[in-house]
Amino acid sequence: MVTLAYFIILILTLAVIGLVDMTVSKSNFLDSLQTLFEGRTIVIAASIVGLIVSVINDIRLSKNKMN
Amino acid sequence: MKENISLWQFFVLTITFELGSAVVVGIGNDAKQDAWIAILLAALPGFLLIWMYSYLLSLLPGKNLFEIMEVAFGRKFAMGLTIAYSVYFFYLACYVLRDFVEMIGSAVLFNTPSGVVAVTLMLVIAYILYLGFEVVGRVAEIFSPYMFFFIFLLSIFVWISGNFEIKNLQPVLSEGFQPIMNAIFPQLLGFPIGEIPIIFTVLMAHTSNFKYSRKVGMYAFGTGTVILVWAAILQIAVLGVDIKLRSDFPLLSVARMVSFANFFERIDATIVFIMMFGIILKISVFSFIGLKGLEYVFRMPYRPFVFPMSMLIALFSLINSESFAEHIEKGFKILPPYFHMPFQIYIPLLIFFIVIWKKKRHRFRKGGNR
Repeated sequence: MVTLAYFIILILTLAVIGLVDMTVSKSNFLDSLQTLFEGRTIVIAASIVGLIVSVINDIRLSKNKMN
Repeated sequence: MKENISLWQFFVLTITFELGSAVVVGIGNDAKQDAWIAILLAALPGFLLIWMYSYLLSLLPGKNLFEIMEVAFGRKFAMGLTIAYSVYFFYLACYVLRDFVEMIGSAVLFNTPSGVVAVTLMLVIAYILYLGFEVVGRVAEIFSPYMFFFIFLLSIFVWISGNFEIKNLQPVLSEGFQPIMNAIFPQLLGFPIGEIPIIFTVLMAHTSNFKYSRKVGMYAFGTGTVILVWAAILQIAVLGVDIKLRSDFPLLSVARMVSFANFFERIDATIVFIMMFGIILKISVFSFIGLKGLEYVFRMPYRPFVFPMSMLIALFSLINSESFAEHIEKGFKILPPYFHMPFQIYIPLLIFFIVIWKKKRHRFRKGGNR
């Protein structure tokens, strides 16, 4: 559930960011997203850690449910 | 973990939230030297919205915005709308975080990568949220006196150093009310005025005494507005309209001009503290509301979502815009009409009228069945 929420929020917010950027910079959607990710290594790494933590939380929650 | 805050904590949290980033970033710029009038007038619809939303909450006691949406639209549609609101609040949190990252990068930590600042702050906020909303209230209670004291101190120092020029506020209303109306709608209504009523739809359900929370909320909103008006007057009177419009952080520029007795100079640090504290609380509140939305949709406590969502907010804050100028343009030109107005006003008003209608219909049917 946590991982599902993670991907839902990630995809929807990226869509919003891409659409807003498209409006401002007048470029197409994928180009907008690609340029925004350049040079953002630290936060991309942090969000991957967030994904790992959400998977771990899901495993813990399902273990608690089974017990 | 306790999730309730006292009325005093609610009071200071609301003021600090309203000041947040708005006190440092220039607002009401369309009205130029009449920005302070625009902020004052924008508060009137704010009071009305607070009254309406709190009345809605009183009709369905103990329910927050998302649960009220279920009453109005049914569970399935409410879930979809709640996801949209969660995305909106996380998006707002990332916007506020970007303000802070840019200010820290330009004022204090020049060589530190933005990502480090963003992730570090979000780790602190994730910790606060993980411990519970009561901790957010306590943080507001403990640090807000320092915030108000520093704003007061800045005002005194500006006065003593002789930089306050009342003539910079003139001519008053030289272009009439049109620039003021342009500044209010949709810009000021979206940020920061309209943010208060919408966060009340969730926060009021977490106060220890709901009966008085409307009155306390209104007093807090009024107090915050007065401080915002004073901050605008300070910025215009010290910097003049032209420099205020060109400055990314006008209050920071005001602090840099303070100089007297060959000793008190460059008190930027106080402004950085004011902004940092306001922003921590603002991001915490936005994130908390987004997390409560996820709690409603997935029917589980929000704690497991805290860390992953916090890291996503850090990511979004930096990928949202390439530069601060683009960030400001999006924040003042795109967000108010396409995001703030629908999520802060149109949708809640629709919910308000639907719930009122359903209540009246229910009473009419009950009366008809006697």
